[in-house]
Amino acid sequence: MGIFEFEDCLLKHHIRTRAWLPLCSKRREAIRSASSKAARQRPLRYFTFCAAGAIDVLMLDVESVIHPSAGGHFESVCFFDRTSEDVIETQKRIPGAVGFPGDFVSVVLVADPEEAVFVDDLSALESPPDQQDTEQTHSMQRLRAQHRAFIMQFPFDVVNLDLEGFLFKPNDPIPGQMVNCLRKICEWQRKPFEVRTGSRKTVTMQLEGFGLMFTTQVGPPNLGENYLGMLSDCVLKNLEGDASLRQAFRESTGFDDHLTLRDSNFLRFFELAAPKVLLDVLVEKDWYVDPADGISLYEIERESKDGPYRMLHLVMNVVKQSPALDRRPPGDMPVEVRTAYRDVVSALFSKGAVLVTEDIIEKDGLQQHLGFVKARAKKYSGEKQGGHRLA
Amino acid sequence: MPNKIRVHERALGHLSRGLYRSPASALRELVSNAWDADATVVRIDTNYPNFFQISVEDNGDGFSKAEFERLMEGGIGNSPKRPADATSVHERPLIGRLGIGLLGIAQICGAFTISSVPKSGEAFKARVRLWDLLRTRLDAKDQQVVHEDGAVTIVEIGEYEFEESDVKKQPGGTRIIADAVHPTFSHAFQQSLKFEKYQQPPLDWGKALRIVSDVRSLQELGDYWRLLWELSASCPVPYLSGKALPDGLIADDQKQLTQYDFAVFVDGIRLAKPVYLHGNPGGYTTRKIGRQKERVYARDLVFHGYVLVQEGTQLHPDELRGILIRIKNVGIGYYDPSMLDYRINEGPRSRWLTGEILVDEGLEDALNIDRDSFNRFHPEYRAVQSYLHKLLQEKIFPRVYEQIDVRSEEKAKKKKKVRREQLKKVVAQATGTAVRLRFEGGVAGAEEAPRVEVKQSKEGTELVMPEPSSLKTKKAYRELAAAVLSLFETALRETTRERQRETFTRLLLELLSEW
Repeated sequence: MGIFEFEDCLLKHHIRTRAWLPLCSKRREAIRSASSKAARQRPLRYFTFCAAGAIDVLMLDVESVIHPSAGGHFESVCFFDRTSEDVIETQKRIPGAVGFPGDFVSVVLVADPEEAVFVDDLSALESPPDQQDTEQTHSMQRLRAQHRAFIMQFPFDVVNLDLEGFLFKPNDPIPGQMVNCLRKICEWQRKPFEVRTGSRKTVTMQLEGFGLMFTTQVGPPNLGENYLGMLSDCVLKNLEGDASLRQAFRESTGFDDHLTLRDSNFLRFFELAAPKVLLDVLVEKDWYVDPADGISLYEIERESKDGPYRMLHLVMNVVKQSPALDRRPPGDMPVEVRTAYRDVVSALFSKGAVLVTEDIIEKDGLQQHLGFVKARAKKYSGEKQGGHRLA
Repeated sequence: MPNKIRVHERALGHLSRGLYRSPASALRELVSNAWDADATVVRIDTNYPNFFQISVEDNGDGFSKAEFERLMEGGIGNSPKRPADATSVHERPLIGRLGIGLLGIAQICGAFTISSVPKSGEAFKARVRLWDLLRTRLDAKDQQVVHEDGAVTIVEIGEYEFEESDVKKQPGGTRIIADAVHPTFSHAFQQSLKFEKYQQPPLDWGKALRIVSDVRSLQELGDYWRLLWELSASCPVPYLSGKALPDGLIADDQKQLTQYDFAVFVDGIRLAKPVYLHGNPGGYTTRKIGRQKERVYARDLVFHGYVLVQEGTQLHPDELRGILIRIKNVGIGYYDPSMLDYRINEGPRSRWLTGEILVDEGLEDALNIDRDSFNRFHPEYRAVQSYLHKLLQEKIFPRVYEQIDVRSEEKAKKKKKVRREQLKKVVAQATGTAVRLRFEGGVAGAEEAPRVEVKQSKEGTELVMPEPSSLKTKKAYRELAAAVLSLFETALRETTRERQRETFTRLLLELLSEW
């Protein structure tokens, strides 16, 4: 077993190689096809969540989608890990990557009155004139500083929210903290970023699209009526106004209405509702899912002491709405976006998730590939590092 | 009967939060602990580029839960002193006393987590939290911090508690994670990344040193680079290679350091001593200091080392200038540009000099409590100082002055050659033939006026000139005077005064354009 949970799981590696890698490659191709040389040569900006030993980053390195800089640093990679220890272990494997320790939700959602106006990401760390030099003060300073430092890292070409827990938590107020985090992320994804064109020159760019990978545990079983209602409404909204979607729903699920589906087959209901929530957040924040690939769904069943549970993986290519929100009449949605939205929902309603089991994966090939990836981890962590090259 | 003098316990409390002058000094103490614990690898992680946490972990022998408890409950600074000649496996001379180094981390954070998997004894993980506003509370005799227990005054500087964890599954060694880093630390380090000359240090330390040698001072690169550089200077790590300095100056020490099998990584960069000096056009004056043994107040003082002068070129960065003293391979403070208060002003020459004195025995009593500087009036320190100053005064700088003379002479010769070539070129343009210079006649101090002849032949033009040294001008102008006389004589070959004036002016200006 590796030091990180699920690092050696071949089912997960199947998803990495069959779903994540093609999406990341697609984003890399988008960068390579940019018109200006500087934009073409910039590295892929990658965010990963609960990096699980950075296997995803190392896989992208093995597959030449991400490269360390000339100095050997993964400076275009940013990650969050739950504990300080995990951040340290992950940084050993991908040196130079920007690691944030702590609770992702707390950092993203911290109340920061200056969030919309701050220009200097250091200001939160400056000594406050009126507060005492105590740990309580420091801890709030650090949280805000992390929040701002994280915002400064945006946008990313690929956002990998590889959540190990649940998207919805019964005790969270509606719509759930993670949904609000997603809203923030979608906002920050619209931030301009700078690309170096020379030793001291930069140009400012904006992303036209990004890859989104999202993972959540299906459930929880004790999800309250408020959440179930929110998810039901989310599905109902589409079924109500579109007979062909209702037909697709009926054929795919075998049920006439979403409430019966919810009560009879929660797994299939969740497969429809959870992606719909994400899709709605994206549209609300001026993005939409590229209908060419839609939202790909994969599932893995895992064992635990409380019985088996399922992990749902969502993979999608996200595109910026055009014209942008601030150039449209209120309530207006571009036709292109409206059509894409319907196509993506239709595809969601028509087919379920692919259950990844040992029977469908190519074990030997995956094992070998994982071996290459882990060898890369050893190389970067210095386990194979010898002496120095001379100056 | 004389009265006893006592130090109040609160003094120790004050010391606990203000021992070291830089983060590198504090981290160096943890590295020293790892060295003593027979670690072969120490990893420091600064959470670059945010610096929200800092960690130090090693793969050494670790220490047990019981030992940690003893340290936390009054054992810091109270460890039994190790014998001076104590060594570990790998034959490492032991450096410090476990405990005091632990407090070093308190300088940059308010709380930290420590976990250790010892070779023998129980593994543990503990959270250590240091009191806020300790100094103020000590002064105010805050009951939580200072209280009486019978006849004893107890000073508490913080609290700790053990945490449940799967620490036993971790590989052996000790890990300290300071996650509650003081915002000022994070601020200073983040800010330094915005400096104009800042660039991210490459993982290859050899390449990083090239960047360092391109700046005048480490301050231009900022606090992060300073941390790397200071750690590389102070930790007992090897040099980049045995040939990092010329003339085999550090070859033996490198062999020894390599045998110690000790590596320090900072954010993935494997550190080596920050000196790599090669290819200076003026060369190097070097002096290896063989093993010196002196007796000072009935105790042995043993040291060796080297002094190197980079002839004619200032050392970069500034921080490399001067003398660094190491005790048992650990740098004390940094390179001392005053060369241990050398009393002779050597002007720019002192900025060409670097050196290390490695103390194998003694001098520890001369250390100040910060372990970063010396009591300059300690007899053992004075003995080292006196040896060094004698060496500088009698061997090093006289040799440097000799070298300056040699270089000046070479430079003058070269300049003379270039100027004569220029004169030949200018005259050749006027005469349209190749020019040869011949010096004759002219006796220094002679009264007769110097004469120049321009002789034209089939082979070309020959300028017969007086030896410049015979000309009655200031020394610096003799070569010029001879050349001007030559041009004058060449111009006189023209037929009219007007053409003579015009030719002379043209030749003179052309000569001076490259003089």
